[in-house]
Amino acid sequence: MIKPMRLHVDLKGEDAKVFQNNRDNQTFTPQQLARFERARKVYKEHLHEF
Amino acid sequence: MEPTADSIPDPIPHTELSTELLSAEHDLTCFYIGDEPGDKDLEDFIKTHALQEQEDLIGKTRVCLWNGEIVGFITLAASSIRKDNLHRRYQTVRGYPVYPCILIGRLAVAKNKRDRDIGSFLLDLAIGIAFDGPVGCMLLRVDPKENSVNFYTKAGFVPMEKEKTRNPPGLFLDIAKVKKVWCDSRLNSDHTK
Repeated sequence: MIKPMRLHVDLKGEDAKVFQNNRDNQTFTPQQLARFERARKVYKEHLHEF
Repeated sequence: MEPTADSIPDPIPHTELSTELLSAEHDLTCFYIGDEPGDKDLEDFIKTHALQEQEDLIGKTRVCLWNGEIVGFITLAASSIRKDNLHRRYQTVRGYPVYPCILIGRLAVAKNKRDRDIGSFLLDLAIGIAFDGPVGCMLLRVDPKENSVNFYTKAGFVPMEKEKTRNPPGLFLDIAKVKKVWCDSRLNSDHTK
């Protein structure tokens, strides 16, 4: 059974099911993947500061 | 009243931002974070405790500079997450009781520079360090303030297993998963070219 969980909002029923399924099989959106690529670029560009 | 396009400040290009390890030379007297819950604690930390904690090697703080002005900071520390605080797939695929992570101890932006992408820059830097840094780091962890949960979940952070009932919950970003998905997507992209 899918339990409600708290993340600023209470998710119940189908919403909780979708959320938990997404978490259990976590994927990343194209925007998030683009962000990770940007993050690696930012780190490499600023590596000389470390 | 809804803000107009004219009232939204332009993001500061990341190429104009730089970071330095916090030192006694940095003048923080004008650095003001705000009056929202948690802001005072963050300001107290950077002005009073961060340097000592750095000297004690508890956490290292990097100040973010723009045009010579301190506009934000991030504090990072080595940490770990117990496997029972992670999703069950971690409890079966590896035999380790804990997994290495980098803890985002503090992250803040000056109030007069909010909404200018500085927080994203600092988070990007932390993700980059976790991803490509010189030590093994499977996860990036943060214990966010309530008003910054969305900032992290938008970037792909999810709640830790045993903290789902805590408000706000501790969050983590699975860097190993990011790497796998990212590499897979690059491979798929290359195959379709």
